[in-house]
Amino acid sequence: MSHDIGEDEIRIIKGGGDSGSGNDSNVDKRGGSGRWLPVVCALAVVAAVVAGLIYMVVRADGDEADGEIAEPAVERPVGEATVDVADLLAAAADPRGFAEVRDTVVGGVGLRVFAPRGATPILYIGEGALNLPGVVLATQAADVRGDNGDIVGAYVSKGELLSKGMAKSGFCAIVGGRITIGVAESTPFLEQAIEGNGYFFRQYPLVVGGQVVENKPKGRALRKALAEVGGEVVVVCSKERMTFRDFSHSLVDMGVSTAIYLVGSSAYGFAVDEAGDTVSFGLREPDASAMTNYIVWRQGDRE
Amino acid sequence: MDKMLLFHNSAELVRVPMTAVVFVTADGNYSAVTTADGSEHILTMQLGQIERRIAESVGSDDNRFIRIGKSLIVNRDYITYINPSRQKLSLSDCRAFRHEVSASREALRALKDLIEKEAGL
Repeated sequence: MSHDIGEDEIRIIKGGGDSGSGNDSNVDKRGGSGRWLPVVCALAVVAAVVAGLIYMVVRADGDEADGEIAEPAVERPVGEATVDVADLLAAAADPRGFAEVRDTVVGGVGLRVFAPRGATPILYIGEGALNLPGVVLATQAADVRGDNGDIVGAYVSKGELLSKGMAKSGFCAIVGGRITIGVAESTPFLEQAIEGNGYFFRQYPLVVGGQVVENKPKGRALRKALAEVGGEVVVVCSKERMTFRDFSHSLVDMGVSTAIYLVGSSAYGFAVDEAGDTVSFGLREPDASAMTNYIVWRQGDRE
Repeated sequence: MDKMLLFHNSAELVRVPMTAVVFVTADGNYSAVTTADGSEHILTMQLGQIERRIAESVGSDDNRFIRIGKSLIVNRDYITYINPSRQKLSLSDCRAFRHEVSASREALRALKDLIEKEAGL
C-alpha cells in the first residue's frame, strides 16, 4: 500500500511489498515534529474513513474500484480513435496527395474542414515545416509557452522526447503508420511513440466518444481541431470566434467522435487542394518561437 | 546477478537491474526512470506505483531506494553531494555519469541527516 508523502519528507522504500511501513522507514523532515506523527496518523485515518464513505455513496452504482491507482477516482472521459494512414493511402484515388477543402454549416456555425488525401502525417518543429517538399496540409499542433518558449505537455518527434508533462489530457500519436487521437491523462501511446520512432503531442480535449469534454478556458477565438469523423482524420476550423464548448458541440453535431484542440486564433497554416491551389489560414508571424510546431501531411508515404 | 526491476503495461515491458537505477522522477501521471547508462525510460505509471513496485522487488534488508518528496526516488548508492540550502542533490558513479536533481530544502536536510546518522557522524 502506498502512503502519501509531503514535498518536505523522505522515506526509505522498504522491501516486503509495503513501502514506507515500519518504524524507521518514514523520516520526517522537521526534526522534532515526529511527535505529531500519531496525531497526524489518527487524523489521516479519520479523513480516509470519511472520504471512503463519501466515495461509496457517490459510487453507489457499484463501479469496480481500480486497485492499482491510489488516487481518488475522478470521472473523466477517456477514449481514442485510430486511423490507419496506410489504408487510406492505399485507397487514395489520386497518388499525388492533396487536402480536400470543404465548407459546412452546423447549427448555424460555419466550419471549414480540411481532409488530407493520399498523404502521411508527421510532426515538425520550426517554420521549416511550411517549406517541406510535398506538404498538402500544415497547421500548428502543440501550444508553446509565452514565457520560456517551451512546448506545453509531452511532445515526441521521431521517437525523441522533447518535452514532458501532462498539462492537457488530449493527445495525438502517430506511430507505425497510424494516427490516434485520444483523451487520457495516461496513455501507452506516449511510450509507443518514443519506442516506435513516432510522434506525440498534447492538447485540450474537445470530444471523446461523441461527447463534449468541458474545458476551463471560456474565451472566444477562432478554433481549430484535429478530429476523427467517419473513419478519417481531418482538421476543422471555425469561421467565427467561438468558445471551446460551442466549438466542441459543433464538432459533435457534424459527427465527430473524437477531437482535440489545435493552436487556434491567428495561428498560421495552409492546405493544397485537389487543383493544386494553396488555401491558407491565420497569419504568418515573422518572430515565431523556435519551438512553434506543426502537424504536417505530406504527399504519399513521405515521413 | 543483481535483482531486476520490472515495469510493464499492455504495450511494453521495461526490465532493469536495480543497481542500474539512478533515480526516478514524476511528471504528472508519467514517471521517468534514469539508469546508469544514461537511458531514460518513460513509464505511464505514477511515482507511487513505481514505489510500490520497488518495495515489492527489494529485499527486506535492502534500503537503497529513498523516496524524496512527491516527485523523486533516488538510489542512495549514487548520492555524492547534498546541499540543502542550494537544493542540490548530485547522483553519480564518480566515473561515467553525474546527474543533478532538486528537492525541497527540508527534504534534502532530512536526507543529509539520515545519511550522517547511519554513518555514525
